[in-house]
Amino acid sequence: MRISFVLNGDPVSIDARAETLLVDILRKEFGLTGARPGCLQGECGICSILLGGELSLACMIPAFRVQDCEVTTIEGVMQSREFRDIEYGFHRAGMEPCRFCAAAKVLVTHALIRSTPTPGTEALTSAASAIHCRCTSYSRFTEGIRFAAEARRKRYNVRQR
Amino acid sequence: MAEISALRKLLQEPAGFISDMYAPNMLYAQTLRSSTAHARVTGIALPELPSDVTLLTATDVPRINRLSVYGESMPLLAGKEVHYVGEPIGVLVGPHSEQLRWILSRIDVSYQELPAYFIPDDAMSDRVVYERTREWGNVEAALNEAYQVVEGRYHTGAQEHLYSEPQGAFALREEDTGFLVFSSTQWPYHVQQTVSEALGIPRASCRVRATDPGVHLDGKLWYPSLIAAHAAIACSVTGRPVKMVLSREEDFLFTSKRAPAFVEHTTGLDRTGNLSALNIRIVLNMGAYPLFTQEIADRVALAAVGEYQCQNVRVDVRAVTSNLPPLNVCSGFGAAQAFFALETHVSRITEVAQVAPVTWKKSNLKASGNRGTGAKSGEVPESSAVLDAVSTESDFARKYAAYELQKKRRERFSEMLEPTRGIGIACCSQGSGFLQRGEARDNPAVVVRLDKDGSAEILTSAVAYSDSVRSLWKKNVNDILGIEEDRVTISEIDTSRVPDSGPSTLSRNVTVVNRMIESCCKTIKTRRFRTALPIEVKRTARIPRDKKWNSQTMEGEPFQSVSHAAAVVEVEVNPVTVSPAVRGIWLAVEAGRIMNPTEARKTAEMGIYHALGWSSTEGVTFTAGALSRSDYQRYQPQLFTRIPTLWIEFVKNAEKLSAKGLGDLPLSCIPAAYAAAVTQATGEYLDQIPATPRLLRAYMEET
Repeated sequence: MRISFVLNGDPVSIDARAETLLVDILRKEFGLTGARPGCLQGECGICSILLGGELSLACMIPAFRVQDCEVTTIEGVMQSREFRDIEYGFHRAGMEPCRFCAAAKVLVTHALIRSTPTPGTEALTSAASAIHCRCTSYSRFTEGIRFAAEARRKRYNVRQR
Repeated sequence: MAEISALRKLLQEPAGFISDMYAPNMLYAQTLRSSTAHARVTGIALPELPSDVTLLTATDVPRINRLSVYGESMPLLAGKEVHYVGEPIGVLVGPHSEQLRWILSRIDVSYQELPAYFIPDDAMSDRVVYERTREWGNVEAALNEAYQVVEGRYHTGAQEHLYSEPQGAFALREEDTGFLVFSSTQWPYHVQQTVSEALGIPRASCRVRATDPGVHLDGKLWYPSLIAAHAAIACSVTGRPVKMVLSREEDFLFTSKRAPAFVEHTTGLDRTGNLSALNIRIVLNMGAYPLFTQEIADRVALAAVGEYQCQNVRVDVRAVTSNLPPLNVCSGFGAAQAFFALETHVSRITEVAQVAPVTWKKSNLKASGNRGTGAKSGEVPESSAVLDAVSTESDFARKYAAYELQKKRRERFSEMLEPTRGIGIACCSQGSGFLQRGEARDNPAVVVRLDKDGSAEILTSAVAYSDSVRSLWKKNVNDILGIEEDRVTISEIDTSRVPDSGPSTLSRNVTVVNRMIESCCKTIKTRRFRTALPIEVKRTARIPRDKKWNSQTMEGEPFQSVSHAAAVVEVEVNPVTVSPAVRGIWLAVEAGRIMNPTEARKTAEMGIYHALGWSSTEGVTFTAGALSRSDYQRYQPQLFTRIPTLWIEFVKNAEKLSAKGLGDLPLSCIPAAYAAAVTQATGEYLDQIPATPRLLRAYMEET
């Protein structure tokens, strides 16, 4: 079927079978390898992307589901100014994710601080548990999110003044 | 701001994962696996195969159908007999991975079933592949004369490594050198050895490039050689580039895991509650094809007594085969299993002897001698310092007494409504590098090159997944040669260019490889300004003459360096969910000179989370020798309802000391501390890990 959607701000259109997974479409059709296939059962979070601005798992989304939707991958988020807050937050917390999970962790952070500018302990814990990778400490990850949120708030406050 | 862009750089650079690699005319390979645990293969019925799809079996291996590790081996592809569920029987090669999956599901392998064994028992003496006994004093007499005898049986389960990228390899032909293999491995030269033997080509005709293995917990030590050989055989037969990457599920179901251990402790105590006799029996289940058996069993035998002194000791370690997938290395090479049993048993002893845990440990730590893990004669036990540090910082004595009182006063845990708390303490040690004789086995080497422009390059096949190790190496060059760290490069790992530095495991990167780099730099320093640039120096690892180790009697100093740690874990258990939440973890480490405290702390933090996972949620239970899809779906690393407070301290960190390994320490002390804490909180004596809520509920129902 012909599937049209907005990918990282640009309208795109491809021919794909309805059941093809979004993670495969992104990687094979568009060469966007930031979203990685992980457990392929919606557990590990490695394939995280934003679908309509909401954090979603690309290994659980069939092609037909993205028709007329807006899909944002790590490649799109990196082009935004908001990415700088995450860079800062991760750096300040000494949070160094591995190549395998870095994109997913950035997207989780991005989605959380967009929806919850001042995330509480529960939200931070939940976000940190969303990505299964042995590479980083959970406490550093939650700190990284907290610092990123702080940077975001600070930047917006400065702008408002 | 320059450093802030490290994340951007990481995301922008090509990740270099096998699954991202493509080549024109490339084929995919998938594995045909045994569906039974032990059987003769009587036939393979194939559906009609498309012309561009080929099934390769054992008879298609050009030369040697074998993967060897230090004298032990397993077939690359099973021939007439299969020994575990999931054993590779064939490699299906074709242009479309989805098509291969469909064809695999339609291949019918017929078997003649044979008896299969899964759990070691006393009747299985014919399946013992290695035995190790350490003995001194007279254990039987001491047990007969003991004031009290404490017995305990402990079990540690298999653990999945859960590395970042699943196992994979990419093989292609090269005009100049023969074959080029990309492998996500900790041991590039083992991949080269296995592939060249399989294809019957000189080693130099197989170039191996190591890709980022991620955090591997030693899961990428030998298995990548098997996958690489499969891909290379397919490449050799078809003449086309071949990519083979396991799915996460396939990887979980069929690749190797940590060797499970069954441990029995019978301990004699004197009137003061101190050790008078230790009788320890350990059985290691090595699965269908034992690998690294001697190294694992010897380390288990050493760790079984830990840091404690006792006049009468007998340790029997038996490694047995079974019809499970190969079960061998995982972080710590067996020491973690032995320390869990020992330290959990010590918690029981202190309860029986009515002595405070820290007091008991300190009065039983060996003050001299080297029966245990290799402390020099007359050395004050380092474990004493780390125990003091964690117990003071965590307020252990007060909390332990308070929770003990609560435990005695309360009704049954299952009838409680409010969460209960517990706290546990454990100590351990870690020997870096292989046991002395093994360290010289590979003749590992490193090259450092000082160039005309004043920059330096480190050439090594050691695979460092984290920046902490790379920064340690660069800092060493900086310290000795005064070259800024950003002018020190570490070469890409390509066997045609870098020397064989041995496998990257057992903290060898921090100890053995680091010392070779130091040695190279010191030599360059003496030649610099006297010899024309570039200066290139190669150094091999040598066992220091003062380190004597008798592998038969197990007397002497087994390791080039030994580090120590102690941990306190405090938990709160909800009686309704029976799910322990970790409130805090205190870890004190003695690991020689800490060259980069930030990176060392990160390594320790990672280790803590890995240890918590193994202690609490990461259960692997084979049913009739197999794991199922639901096992895969249930398996999860530690998930948190709250992020525990972490306190980490490095004690006795001095400039004059050399760096020692620390990565495996949390896995050796945290599980026992966790089990002791859960035991105190629930009143259920926990003698195995992982202590899943399901297991805890089962314990409660029993009582």
